Amino acid sequence: MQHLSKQFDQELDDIRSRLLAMCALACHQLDRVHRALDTGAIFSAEEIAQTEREINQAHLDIDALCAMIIVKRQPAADDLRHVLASMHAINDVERIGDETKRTLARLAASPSISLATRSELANMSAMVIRMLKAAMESLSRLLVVQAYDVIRSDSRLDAQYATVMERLESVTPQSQSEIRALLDSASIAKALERCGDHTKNVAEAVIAMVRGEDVRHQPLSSA
Amino acid sequence: MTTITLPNDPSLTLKAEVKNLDFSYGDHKALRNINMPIYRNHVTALIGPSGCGKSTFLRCFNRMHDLYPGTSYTGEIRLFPDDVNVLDREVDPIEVRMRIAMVFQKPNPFPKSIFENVAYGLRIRGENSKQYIQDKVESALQGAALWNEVRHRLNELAVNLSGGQQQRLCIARAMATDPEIVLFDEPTSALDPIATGAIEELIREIKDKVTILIVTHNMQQAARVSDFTAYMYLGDLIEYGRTDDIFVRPVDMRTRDYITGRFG
Repeated sequence: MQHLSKQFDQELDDIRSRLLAMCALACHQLDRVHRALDTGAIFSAEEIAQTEREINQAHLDIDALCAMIIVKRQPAADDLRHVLASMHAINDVERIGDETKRTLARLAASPSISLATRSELANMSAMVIRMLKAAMESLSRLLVVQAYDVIRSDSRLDAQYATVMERLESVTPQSQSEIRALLDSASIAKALERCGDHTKNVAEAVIAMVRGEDVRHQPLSSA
Repeated sequence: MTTITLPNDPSLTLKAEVKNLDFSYGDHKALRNINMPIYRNHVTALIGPSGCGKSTFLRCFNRMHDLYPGTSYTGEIRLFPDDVNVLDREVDPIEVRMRIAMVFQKPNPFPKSIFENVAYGLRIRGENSKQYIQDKVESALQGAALWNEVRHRLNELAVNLSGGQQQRLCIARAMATDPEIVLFDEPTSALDPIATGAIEELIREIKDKVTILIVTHNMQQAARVSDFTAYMYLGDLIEYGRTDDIFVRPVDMRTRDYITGRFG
Protein backbone atom coordinates (compact mmCIF):
# COMPACT_ATOMS: atom_id res chain seq x y z
CA MET A 1 0.00 0.00 0.00
CA GLN A 2 1.25 3.45 -0.89
CA HIS A 3 1.79 6.45 1.36
CA LEU A 4 -0.34 9.53 0.96
CA SER A 5 2.91 11.19 -0.03
CA LYS A 6 4.23 9.54 -3.19
CA GLN A 7 7.52 11.32 -2.64
CA PHE A 8 7.89 9.45 0.65
CA ASP A 9 7.44 6.16 -1.23
CA GLN A 10 10.11 7.26 -3.69
CA GLU A 11 12.48 8.26 -0.90
CA LEU A 12 12.16 4.86 0.79
CA ASP A 13 12.64 3.08 -2.56
CA ASP A 14 15.65 5.28 -3.20
CA ILE A 15 17.27 4.21 0.08
CA ARG A 16 16.82 0.55 -0.74
CA SER A 17 18.09 0.81 -4.31
CA ARG A 18 21.12 2.85 -3.19
CA LEU A 19 21.84 0.31 -0.45
CA LEU A 20 21.65 -2.50 -3.01
CA ALA A 21 24.01 -0.60 -5.29
CA MET A 22 26.41 -0.12 -2.36
CA CYS A 23 26.24 -3.86 -1.63
CA ALA A 24 27.00 -4.54 -5.29
CA LEU A 25 30.15 -2.42 -5.01
CA ALA A 26 31.26 -4.33 -1.91
CA CYS A 27 30.51 -7.57 -3.74
CA HIS A 28 32.65 -6.37 -6.61
CA GLN A 29 35.59 -5.80 -4.22
CA LEU A 30 35.03 -9.24 -2.70
CA ASP A 31 35.04 -10.73 -6.18
CA ARG A 32 38.43 -9.09 -6.78
CA VAL A 33 39.69 -10.65 -3.56
CA HIS A 34 38.41 -14.02 -4.71
CA ARG A 35 40.02 -13.76 -8.14
CA ALA A 36 43.30 -12.58 -6.64
CA LEU A 37 43.28 -15.66 -4.40
CA ASP A 38 41.95 -18.11 -6.95
CA THR A 39 43.79 -17.10 -10.11
CA GLY A 40 46.45 -14.68 -8.90
CA ALA A 41 44.71 -11.83 -10.70
CA ILE A 42 46.25 -8.44 -10.04
CA PHE A 43 44.25 -5.22 -9.77
CA SER A 44 45.59 -1.71 -9.92
CA ALA A 45 45.65 0.29 -6.70
CA GLU A 46 43.66 3.01 -8.45
CA GLU A 47 40.75 0.79 -9.46
CA ILE A 48 40.57 -0.65 -5.93
CA ALA A 49 40.70 2.83 -4.40
CA GLN A 50 38.05 4.09 -6.84
CA THR A 51 35.56 1.39 -5.77
CA GLU A 52 36.38 2.12 -2.13
CA ARG A 53 35.67 5.81 -2.71
CA GLU A 54 32.33 4.94 -4.33
CA ILE A 55 31.40 2.75 -1.35
CA ASN A 56 32.32 5.54 1.08
CA GLN A 57 30.34 8.08 -0.93
CA ALA A 58 27.30 5.77 -0.96
CA HIS A 59 27.69 5.43 2.82
CA LEU A 60 27.55 9.21 3.25
CA ASP A 61 24.73 9.70 0.74
CA ILE A 62 22.45 7.04 2.21
CA ASP A 63 23.19 8.25 5.73
CA ALA A 64 22.18 11.79 4.73
CA LEU A 65 19.07 10.50 2.96
CA CYS A 66 18.00 8.54 6.06
CA ALA A 67 18.59 11.58 8.30
CA MET A 68 16.51 13.72 5.95
CA ILE A 69 13.64 11.21 5.97
CA ILE A 70 13.68 11.15 9.77
CA VAL A 71 13.56 14.96 9.88
CA LYS A 72 10.93 15.41 7.17
CA ARG A 73 8.72 12.37 7.59
CA GLN A 74 9.07 11.22 11.21
CA PRO A 75 8.69 7.62 10.01
CA ALA A 76 6.92 5.02 12.14
CA ALA A 77 6.41 1.25 12.13
CA ASP A 78 7.87 -0.50 9.06
CA ASP A 79 8.97 2.85 7.56
CA LEU A 80 10.99 3.57 10.69
CA ARG A 81 12.42 0.07 10.66
CA HIS A 82 13.30 0.45 6.99
CA VAL A 83 15.27 3.63 7.70
CA LEU A 84 16.97 2.34 10.87
CA ALA A 85 17.87 -1.02 9.33
CA SER A 86 19.32 0.74 6.30
CA MET A 87 21.45 2.93 8.57
CA HIS A 88 22.76 -0.19 10.31
CA ALA A 89 23.36 -2.03 7.04
CA ILE A 90 25.37 0.75 5.38
CA ASN A 91 27.85 0.73 8.27
CA ASP A 92 28.41 -2.99 7.74
CA VAL A 93 28.74 -2.70 3.98
CA GLU A 94 31.23 0.14 4.41
CA ARG A 95 33.31 -2.10 6.70
CA ILE A 96 33.26 -4.85 4.07
CA GLY A 97 34.69 -2.21 1.71
CA ASP A 98 37.47 -1.43 4.22
CA GLU A 99 38.30 -5.09 4.82
CA THR A 100 38.43 -5.95 1.12
CA LYS A 101 40.59 -2.94 0.29
CA ARG A 102 43.11 -3.91 2.97
CA THR A 103 43.00 -7.54 1.86
CA LEU A 104 43.65 -6.64 -1.78
CA ALA A 105 46.61 -4.50 -0.70
CA ARG A 106 47.95 -7.34 1.44
CA LEU A 107 47.57 -9.86 -1.39
CA ALA A 108 49.42 -7.58 -3.80
CA ALA A 109 52.31 -7.36 -1.31
CA SER A 110 52.35 -11.09 -0.42
CA PRO A 111 53.15 -13.18 -3.46
CA SER A 112 54.59 -16.01 -1.32
CA ILE A 113 51.32 -17.30 0.18
CA SER A 114 51.19 -21.01 -0.67
CA LEU A 115 48.81 -22.37 -3.27
CA ALA A 116 47.14 -24.58 -0.66
CA THR A 117 46.47 -21.60 1.60
CA ARG A 118 45.26 -19.50 -1.32
CA SER A 119 42.83 -22.26 -2.19
CA GLU A 120 41.47 -22.41 1.36
CA LEU A 121 41.13 -18.62 1.51
CA ALA A 122 39.47 -18.63 -1.92
CA ASN A 123 36.90 -21.06 -0.54
CA MET A 124 36.21 -18.59 2.25
CA SER A 125 35.91 -15.62 -0.14
CA ALA A 126 33.53 -17.63 -2.35
CA MET A 127 31.39 -18.35 0.71
CA VAL A 128 31.30 -14.66 1.66
CA ILE A 129 30.34 -13.68 -1.89
CA ARG A 130 27.48 -16.19 -1.87
CA MET A 131 26.37 -14.85 1.51
CA LEU A 132 26.44 -11.24 0.37
CA LYS A 133 24.53 -12.05 -2.82
CA ALA A 134 21.90 -13.88 -0.77
CA ALA A 135 21.70 -10.93 1.64
CA MET A 136 21.19 -8.62 -1.34
CA GLU A 137 18.48 -10.89 -2.69
CA SER A 138 16.76 -10.91 0.70
CA LEU A 139 17.00 -7.11 0.85
CA SER A 140 15.77 -6.68 -2.70
CA ARG A 141 12.75 -8.94 -2.28
CA LEU A 142 12.38 -8.54 1.49
CA LEU A 143 12.74 -12.30 1.99
CA VAL A 144 13.20 -13.21 5.63
CA VAL A 145 13.83 -16.92 4.92
CA GLN A 146 16.81 -16.05 2.77
CA ALA A 147 18.12 -13.69 5.44
CA TYR A 148 18.06 -16.56 7.94
CA ASP A 149 20.00 -18.68 5.42
CA VAL A 150 22.70 -16.00 5.43
CA ILE A 151 22.89 -16.14 9.24
CA ARG A 152 23.28 -19.92 9.09
CA SER A 153 25.96 -19.60 6.41
CA ASP A 154 27.98 -17.38 8.71
CA SER A 155 28.30 -20.26 11.17
CA ARG A 156 29.74 -22.41 8.37
CA LEU A 157 32.13 -19.62 7.45
CA ASP A 158 33.25 -19.36 11.08
CA ALA A 159 33.92 -23.11 11.08
CA GLN A 160 35.93 -22.75 7.86
CA TYR A 161 37.90 -19.89 9.42
CA ALA A 162 38.69 -22.05 12.47
CA THR A 163 39.92 -24.85 10.19
CA VAL A 164 42.15 -22.49 8.20
CA MET A 165 43.61 -20.98 11.38
CA GLU A 166 44.23 -24.41 12.85
CA ARG A 167 46.17 -25.44 9.78
CA LEU A 168 48.14 -22.18 9.69
CA GLU A 169 49.08 -22.67 13.35
CA SER A 170 50.43 -26.13 12.53
CA VAL A 171 52.91 -24.74 10.01
CA THR A 172 56.48 -24.13 11.17
CA PRO A 173 57.87 -21.30 9.06
CA GLN A 174 61.37 -21.82 7.72
CA SER A 175 62.16 -18.33 6.55
CA GLN A 176 61.35 -14.68 6.99
CA SER A 177 59.15 -14.75 3.87
CA GLU A 178 57.21 -17.77 5.20
CA ILE A 179 56.59 -15.95 8.48
CA ARG A 180 55.30 -13.00 6.51
CA ALA A 181 53.11 -15.24 4.33
CA LEU A 182 51.64 -16.93 7.41
CA LEU A 183 50.85 -13.62 9.08
CA ASP A 184 49.26 -12.27 5.89
CA SER A 185 47.25 -15.46 5.43
CA ALA A 186 45.95 -15.22 9.00
CA SER A 187 45.03 -11.56 8.47
CA ILE A 188 43.22 -12.33 5.22
CA ALA A 189 41.34 -15.22 6.84
CA LYS A 190 40.32 -12.91 9.69
CA ALA A 191 39.23 -10.19 7.23
CA LEU A 192 37.06 -12.66 5.32
CA GLU A 193 35.57 -13.93 8.56
CA ARG A 194 34.76 -10.30 9.50
CA CYS A 195 33.20 -9.74 6.06
CA GLY A 196 30.97 -12.71 6.83
CA ASP A 197 29.98 -11.14 10.16
CA HIS A 198 29.12 -7.86 8.45
CA THR A 199 27.08 -9.70 5.82
CA LYS A 200 25.24 -11.51 8.59
CA ASN A 201 24.50 -8.10 10.15
CA VAL A 202 22.98 -6.96 6.84
CA ALA A 203 20.75 -10.05 6.86
CA GLU A 204 19.73 -9.30 10.46
CA ALA A 205 18.86 -5.75 9.36
CA VAL A 206 16.58 -7.20 6.67
CA ILE A 207 14.78 -9.31 9.30
CA ALA A 208 14.36 -6.23 11.52
CA MET A 209 13.10 -4.29 8.51
CA VAL A 210 10.53 -6.87 7.45
CA ARG A 211 9.41 -8.40 10.72
CA GLY A 212 10.38 -5.87 13.37
CA GLU A 213 12.31 -8.61 15.19
CA ASP A 214 15.73 -7.87 16.60
CA VAL A 215 17.70 -11.08 16.14
CA ARG A 216 21.12 -9.57 16.86
CA HIS A 217 23.24 -11.24 19.52
CA GLN A 218 20.93 -14.23 19.69
CA PRO A 219 21.68 -17.88 19.06
CA LEU A 220 20.28 -19.08 15.77
CA SER A 221 17.80 -21.41 17.47
CA SER A 222 15.88 -18.44 18.83
CA ALA A 223 16.37 -16.33 15.70
CA MET B 1 -11.18 -7.52 15.55
CA THR B 2 -9.28 -5.78 18.29
CA THR B 3 -5.64 -6.47 19.10
CA ILE B 4 -4.92 -5.81 22.77
CA THR B 5 -1.38 -6.46 23.93
CA LEU B 6 -1.38 -6.31 27.71
CA PRO B 7 1.97 -5.46 29.30
CA ASN B 8 3.61 -8.13 31.39
CA ASP B 9 4.60 -5.77 34.18
CA PRO B 10 3.47 -6.48 37.74
CA SER B 11 4.33 -2.93 38.81
CA LEU B 12 1.40 -1.58 36.75
CA THR B 13 -1.87 -1.01 38.58
CA LEU B 14 -5.23 -0.37 37.04
CA LYS B 15 -6.75 3.06 37.52
CA ALA B 16 -9.72 2.32 35.31
CA GLU B 17 -11.01 -0.43 33.10
CA VAL B 18 -13.33 -0.05 30.14
CA LYS B 19 -15.63 -3.03 29.67
CA ASN B 20 -17.89 -3.68 26.68
CA LEU B 21 -18.51 0.03 26.17
CA ASP B 22 -21.01 1.05 23.50
CA PHE B 23 -22.07 4.65 22.98
CA SER B 24 -24.68 6.12 20.65
CA TYR B 25 -25.74 9.58 19.54
CA GLY B 26 -29.43 8.80 18.90
CA ASP B 27 -29.45 6.00 16.31
CA HIS B 28 -25.80 6.46 15.42
CA LYS B 29 -23.53 4.08 17.25
CA ALA B 30 -20.30 5.99 17.80
CA LEU B 31 -18.43 3.43 19.93
CA ARG B 32 -18.67 -0.34 19.68
CA ASN B 33 -17.64 -2.81 22.34
CA ILE B 34 -14.57 -1.01 23.64
CA ASN B 35 -12.48 -2.94 26.16
CA MET B 36 -9.31 -1.38 27.49
CA PRO B 37 -7.24 -0.99 30.66
CA ILE B 38 -6.10 2.43 31.91
CA TYR B 39 -2.96 2.19 34.02
CA ARG B 40 -2.40 4.41 37.04
CA ASN B 41 0.19 7.21 36.70
CA HIS B 42 0.68 6.46 33.05
CA VAL B 43 -0.30 8.34 29.91
CA THR B 44 -2.63 6.61 27.46
CA ALA B 45 -2.94 8.21 24.03
CA LEU B 46 -6.00 7.79 21.83
CA ILE B 47 -5.22 8.16 18.14
CA GLY B 48 -7.19 7.71 14.96
CA PRO B 49 -8.62 9.65 12.03
CA SER B 50 -11.32 12.30 12.47
CA GLY B 51 -14.66 10.76 13.36
CA CYS B 52 -13.17 7.55 14.73
CA GLY B 53 -14.71 8.16 18.17
CA LYS B 54 -11.66 9.02 20.22
CA SER B 55 -13.06 12.29 21.62
CA THR B 56 -16.41 10.60 22.15
CA PHE B 57 -14.63 7.87 24.08
CA LEU B 58 -12.69 10.41 26.15
CA ARG B 59 -15.88 12.25 27.07
CA CYS B 60 -17.48 9.07 28.36
CA PHE B 61 -15.00 9.05 31.23
CA ASN B 62 -16.41 12.18 32.88
CA ARG B 63 -19.98 11.76 31.62
CA MET B 64 -19.78 14.84 29.41
CA HIS B 65 -22.35 13.26 27.09
CA ASP B 66 -24.94 13.48 29.86
CA LEU B 67 -25.18 17.18 29.04
CA TYR B 68 -26.70 16.40 25.64
CA PRO B 69 -30.05 14.70 24.98
CA GLY B 70 -30.39 11.50 22.96
CA THR B 71 -27.10 9.94 23.96
CA SER B 72 -26.81 6.50 25.50
CA TYR B 73 -24.12 4.32 27.02
CA THR B 74 -23.96 0.60 27.66
CA GLY B 75 -21.08 -1.20 29.28
CA GLU B 76 -18.85 0.00 32.08
CA ILE B 77 -15.96 2.25 32.91
CA ARG B 78 -14.80 1.03 36.30
CA LEU B 79 -12.74 3.39 38.38
CA PHE B 80 -10.33 2.00 40.96
CA PRO B 81 -9.48 1.52 43.78
CA ASP B 82 -13.16 1.71 44.79
CA ASP B 83 -14.32 -0.20 41.70
CA VAL B 84 -17.19 2.15 40.86
CA ASN B 85 -18.78 2.20 37.41
CA VAL B 86 -18.73 5.87 36.44
CA LEU B 87 -21.38 5.25 33.78
CA ASP B 88 -23.86 3.97 36.35
CA ARG B 89 -26.84 6.32 36.37
CA GLU B 90 -26.86 6.09 40.16
CA VAL B 91 -23.43 7.71 40.24
CA ASP B 92 -23.55 11.50 40.35
CA PRO B 93 -21.79 12.91 37.24
CA ILE B 94 -20.66 15.96 39.24
CA GLU B 95 -18.91 13.59 41.63
CA VAL B 96 -17.33 11.85 38.62
CA ARG B 97 -16.07 15.16 37.25
CA MET B 98 -14.51 15.97 40.63
CA ARG B 99 -12.40 12.87 40.21
CA ILE B 100 -11.89 13.04 36.46
CA ALA B 101 -10.94 16.48 35.17
CA MET B 102 -10.70 17.62 31.56
CA VAL B 103 -8.56 19.99 29.52
CA PHE B 104 -9.96 20.99 26.14
CA GLN B 105 -8.54 21.67 22.71
CA LYS B 106 -8.94 25.40 22.94
CA PRO B 107 -7.87 27.09 26.18
CA ASN B 108 -11.06 28.14 27.94
CA PRO B 109 -10.21 30.30 30.95
CA PHE B 110 -13.21 31.75 32.78
CA PRO B 111 -13.66 35.53 32.46
CA LYS B 112 -12.13 35.91 35.89
CA SER B 113 -8.72 36.63 37.34
CA ILE B 114 -5.87 34.16 37.08
CA PHE B 115 -6.22 33.42 40.80
CA GLU B 116 -9.97 32.90 40.65
CA ASN B 117 -9.69 30.58 37.66
CA VAL B 118 -7.56 28.19 39.66
CA ALA B 119 -9.54 28.67 42.86
CA TYR B 120 -12.86 28.07 41.10
CA GLY B 121 -13.06 24.33 41.56
CA LEU B 122 -12.04 24.57 45.18
CA ARG B 123 -14.75 27.12 45.92
CA ILE B 124 -17.38 24.98 44.14
CA ARG B 125 -16.26 22.11 46.30
CA GLY B 126 -17.13 24.31 49.33
CA GLU B 127 -13.60 25.14 50.38
CA ASN B 128 -13.65 28.30 52.54
CA SER B 129 -10.21 28.54 54.08
CA LYS B 130 -8.46 31.50 52.45
CA GLN B 131 -5.02 30.18 53.34
CA TYR B 132 -5.81 26.71 52.02
CA ILE B 133 -7.09 28.14 48.74
CA GLN B 134 -4.02 30.38 48.40
CA ASP B 135 -1.70 27.45 49.01
CA LYS B 136 -3.54 25.22 46.55
CA VAL B 137 -3.59 27.92 43.85
CA GLU B 138 0.15 28.51 44.25
CA SER B 139 0.93 24.82 44.22
CA ALA B 140 -1.28 24.19 41.15
CA LEU B 141 0.31 27.09 39.27
CA GLN B 142 3.75 25.80 40.20
CA GLY B 143 2.75 22.32 39.09
CA ALA B 144 1.65 23.79 35.77
CA ALA B 145 4.99 25.63 35.41
CA LEU B 146 3.14 28.94 35.36
CA TRP B 147 3.79 30.36 38.83
CA ASN B 148 6.96 32.28 37.96
CA GLU B 149 5.24 33.93 35.02
CA VAL B 150 2.07 35.04 36.84
CA ARG B 151 2.94 35.33 40.53
CA HIS B 152 2.91 39.16 40.36
CA ARG B 153 -0.25 39.40 38.26
CA LEU B 154 -2.61 36.94 39.91
CA ASN B 155 -5.45 39.45 39.90
CA GLU B 156 -5.22 40.18 36.19
CA LEU B 157 -7.79 38.74 33.82
CA ALA B 158 -6.79 35.24 32.66
CA VAL B 159 -7.88 36.00 29.09
CA ASN B 160 -4.94 38.41 28.81
CA LEU B 161 -2.46 35.52 29.04
CA SER B 162 -0.94 34.05 25.87
CA GLY B 163 -2.54 30.91 24.37
CA GLY B 164 0.11 28.64 25.86
CA GLN B 165 -0.18 30.30 29.27
CA GLN B 166 -3.97 30.01 29.14
CA GLN B 167 -3.70 26.28 28.44
CA ARG B 168 -1.28 25.82 31.33
CA LEU B 169 -3.71 27.81 33.48
CA CYS B 170 -6.48 25.40 32.47
CA ILE B 171 -4.23 22.51 33.49
CA ALA B 172 -3.56 24.24 36.83
CA ARG B 173 -7.31 24.71 37.25
CA ALA B 174 -7.88 21.03 36.55
CA MET B 175 -5.11 19.95 38.90
CA ALA B 176 -6.11 22.25 41.79
CA THR B 177 -8.88 19.92 42.92
CA ASP B 178 -6.55 16.88 43.01
CA PRO B 179 -8.29 14.80 40.34
CA GLU B 180 -7.38 11.14 39.87
CA ILE B 181 -7.56 11.22 36.08
CA VAL B 182 -7.07 14.14 33.70
CA LEU B 183 -8.52 13.93 30.19
CA PHE B 184 -6.73 15.97 27.52
CA ASP B 185 -8.66 16.53 24.28
CA GLU B 186 -6.09 17.69 21.71
CA PRO B 187 -4.58 20.11 24.25
CA THR B 188 -1.94 21.58 21.96
CA SER B 189 -3.63 21.77 18.57
CA ALA B 190 -4.12 25.53 18.96
CA LEU B 191 -0.60 26.19 20.26
CA ASP B 192 2.78 26.98 18.68
CA PRO B 193 5.68 24.49 18.98
CA ILE B 194 7.21 26.19 22.04
CA ALA B 195 3.92 26.23 23.96
CA THR B 196 3.29 22.65 22.77
CA GLY B 197 6.67 21.58 24.15
CA ALA B 198 5.83 23.20 27.49
CA ILE B 199 2.49 21.36 27.70
CA GLU B 200 4.11 18.03 26.77
CA GLU B 201 6.75 18.53 29.44
CA LEU B 202 3.98 19.33 31.91
CA ILE B 203 2.13 16.13 31.02
CA ARG B 204 5.30 14.15 31.73
CA GLU B 205 5.67 15.88 35.10
CA ILE B 206 2.09 15.60 36.34
CA LYS B 207 1.73 11.92 35.51
CA ASP B 208 3.46 11.20 38.82
CA LYS B 209 0.32 12.57 40.47
CA VAL B 210 -2.48 11.64 38.08
CA THR B 211 -3.46 9.20 35.37
CA ILE B 212 -3.73 10.78 31.95
CA LEU B 213 -5.73 10.09 28.80
CA ILE B 214 -4.90 12.22 25.82
CA VAL B 215 -6.56 12.50 22.43
CA THR B 216 -4.20 13.79 19.79
CA HIS B 217 -4.04 14.03 16.02
CA ASN B 218 -0.31 14.50 16.28
CA MET B 219 1.19 11.03 16.21
CA GLN B 220 4.64 12.25 17.10
CA GLN B 221 3.08 13.81 20.17
CA ALA B 222 1.44 10.50 21.07
CA ALA B 223 4.80 8.78 20.61
CA ARG B 224 6.57 11.41 22.75
CA VAL B 225 4.24 11.70 25.71
CA SER B 226 2.36 8.44 26.09
CA ASP B 227 3.18 5.08 27.64
CA PHE B 228 0.26 3.26 26.02
CA THR B 229 -1.53 3.96 22.76
CA ALA B 230 -4.95 2.96 21.49
CA TYR B 231 -5.74 3.23 17.80
CA MET B 232 -9.44 3.71 17.00
CA TYR B 233 -11.23 3.57 13.67
CA LEU B 234 -14.93 4.05 12.91
CA GLY B 235 -15.95 3.56 16.53
CA ASP B 236 -13.90 0.41 17.06
CA LEU B 237 -10.77 -0.02 19.12
CA ILE B 238 -8.40 -1.55 16.57
CA GLU B 239 -5.23 -1.95 18.58
CA TYR B 240 -3.98 -1.20 22.08
CA GLY B 241 -0.50 -1.71 23.42
CA ARG B 242 2.68 -0.09 24.65
CA THR B 243 3.42 3.05 22.67
CA ASP B 244 6.92 1.78 21.81
CA ASP B 245 5.40 -1.29 20.20
CA ILE B 246 2.52 0.45 18.45
CA PHE B 247 4.84 2.94 16.74
CA VAL B 248 7.61 0.50 15.83
CA ARG B 249 5.91 -2.83 15.24
CA PRO B 250 2.11 -2.53 15.18
CA VAL B 251 0.33 -5.86 14.87
CA ASP B 252 -2.76 -4.76 12.93
CA MET B 253 -2.23 -3.56 9.35
CA ARG B 254 -4.88 -0.87 9.84
CA THR B 255 -2.79 0.63 12.64
CA ARG B 256 0.33 0.44 10.48
CA ASP B 257 -1.42 2.10 7.55
CA TYR B 258 -2.63 4.95 9.74
CA ILE B 259 0.59 5.72 11.57
CA THR B 260 2.68 5.49 8.41
CA GLY B 261 0.28 7.62 6.37
CA ARG B 262 -0.67 4.93 3.87
CA PHE B 263 -3.95 4.59 1.99
CA GLY B 264 -5.65 2.35 -0.52
